[in-house]
Amino acid sequence: MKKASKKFTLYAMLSVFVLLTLLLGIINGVNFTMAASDADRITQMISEQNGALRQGPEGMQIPETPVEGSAQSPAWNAGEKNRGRFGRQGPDSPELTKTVRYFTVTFDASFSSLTAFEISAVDQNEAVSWAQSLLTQQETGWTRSTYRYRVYTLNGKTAVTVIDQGRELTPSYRILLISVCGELLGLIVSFLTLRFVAQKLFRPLEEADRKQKRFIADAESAFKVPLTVINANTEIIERENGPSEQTGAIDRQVKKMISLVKELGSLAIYEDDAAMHTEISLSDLVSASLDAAATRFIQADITLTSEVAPGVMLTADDAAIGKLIAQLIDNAVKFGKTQAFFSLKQENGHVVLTASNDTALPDGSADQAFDRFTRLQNANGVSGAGLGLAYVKDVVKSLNGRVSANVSDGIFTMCIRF
Amino acid sequence: MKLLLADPDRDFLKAYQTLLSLEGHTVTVCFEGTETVKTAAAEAFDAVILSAVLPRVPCADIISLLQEKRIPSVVLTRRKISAALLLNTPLANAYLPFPFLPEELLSLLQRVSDLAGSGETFPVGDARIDVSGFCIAGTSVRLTAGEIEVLQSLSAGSLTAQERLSPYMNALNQKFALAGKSVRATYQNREGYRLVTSI
Repeated sequence: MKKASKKFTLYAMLSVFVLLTLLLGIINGVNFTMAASDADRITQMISEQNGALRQGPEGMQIPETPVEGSAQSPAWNAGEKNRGRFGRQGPDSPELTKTVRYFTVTFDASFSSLTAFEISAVDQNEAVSWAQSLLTQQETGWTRSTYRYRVYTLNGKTAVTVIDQGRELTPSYRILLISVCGELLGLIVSFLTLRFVAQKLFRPLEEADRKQKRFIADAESAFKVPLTVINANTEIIERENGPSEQTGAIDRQVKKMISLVKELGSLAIYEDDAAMHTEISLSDLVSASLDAAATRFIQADITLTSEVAPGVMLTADDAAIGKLIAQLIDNAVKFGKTQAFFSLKQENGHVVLTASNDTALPDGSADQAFDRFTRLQNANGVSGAGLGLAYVKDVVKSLNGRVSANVSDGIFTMCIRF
Repeated sequence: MKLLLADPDRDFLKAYQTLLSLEGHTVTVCFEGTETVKTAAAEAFDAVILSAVLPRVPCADIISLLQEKRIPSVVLTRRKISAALLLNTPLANAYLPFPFLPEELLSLLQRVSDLAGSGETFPVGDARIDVSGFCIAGTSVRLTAGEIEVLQSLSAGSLTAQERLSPYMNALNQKFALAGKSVRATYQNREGYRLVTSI
């Protein structure tokens, strides 16, 4: 259930992340595109004025060639009523000639000249070499982060105009910064909210799961004595009156139930009890279990190989670990085709137990191997209830270990790390 | 044998009283702890079979009393046999997990009785096992009937691969360490469990 809760939170967080990123990405993308468009309009204006913005009678620019269909260029024809989209900061502002910082360099075959130089951040030599480096670039673009350039032809020569848009871009960068901070804040708030919601949402399910496990454990425990009593009474009846068909049936059914109860109790639930922990020789246990199962592997026509490092110890409930190993063996015998391999080693301070066998399962199909009452595709016709590997996971988790299963190149591999 | 059978389930008591009587034993039954303690203290029994959970008196107190009186005890438990169970203090002479078949209890009872009456000791590495005392001789480390039987088999040779033996081996090794003995039971690949003496 915790896994489901984590999955819910993860997917919801991913959705929030994608949504916020998309929304803020579009806002900032449009913002920077508009900034680039404004800058391009200015460089276009400069290019149309032979590489230099000219000073008009009212402090506005006067182009040499008026725009077709208009007596004046867009830069000066509006006066107070045309201050651009962003007032005095935009390319339509009448203050443009006073605020724009730029330089224009023209090039012919062997000579370069500075046509206009209205900037303080760079010196003239640097401006020329900078412009030269832009000759091979696209027609327009950003250079040195905040400078916009345009490469064009001026009176048969190649010209490069570079304008400083640092000041104009500052609000855009602020919006970007605010967006990033907003997104982070949004993600944190979403995470906290989702965690709270997930807790509320999954608590009843967790409670139901816990009650189910408790019920199974109680049922297993509660059945033990009655079964013992029924069996004893059947024995008494047989001794007093001789065996009968009925007592024989009771006896068989009771033995079947005893076996079922034992399986239910041992596999349906595992509740770790620290009082049951003791230091065990895992090497001995794995070797003994594999040797004991050798006949089963032979009968199943499966070649068993193993590499068990000596002296590997583990502090755990030995009965639970014994059942865990029995489950791994059972799995390999039931679902292996021709080969099974077990290994136990100590690696970087961890105990690593690996069990693998060849399988008919397709690659990547072991994701649900550890789910309770879940059986994989190759379990058809094979006895079992889908509890064995769920039990393995419960035991490993109770010891703060990790267990993973995967199918790759026709090999099913289960790796347990304590 | 004169037996005391203590369990809170009256149906269980009745069934096993009858069954044990049919086997020729004399059986006294108790269904709660105080009565069990009084009966065990007042009369001489050859063995006591008791549930791990009895009303009013902890099982450990009853086992201590039985040890003082040197009466063998068989504890019926809902827990599985594990090293932790075998390292219990005080330790009963045998544990039998529910559910079990009548012949399992009868067989265990007979084995416990035989061990208690054997009076023998046998060496295991640098240790000596006091069979009738259910302990490592010269120490206060106690053993169950199952552990003694495992040691008897080990000292006679090796034991074949049986994963169910693991709790016994783990418990025995810890008990040998507790008793200051260097003998240990270890598993030899494809040979089974063997006794070795560590240097």
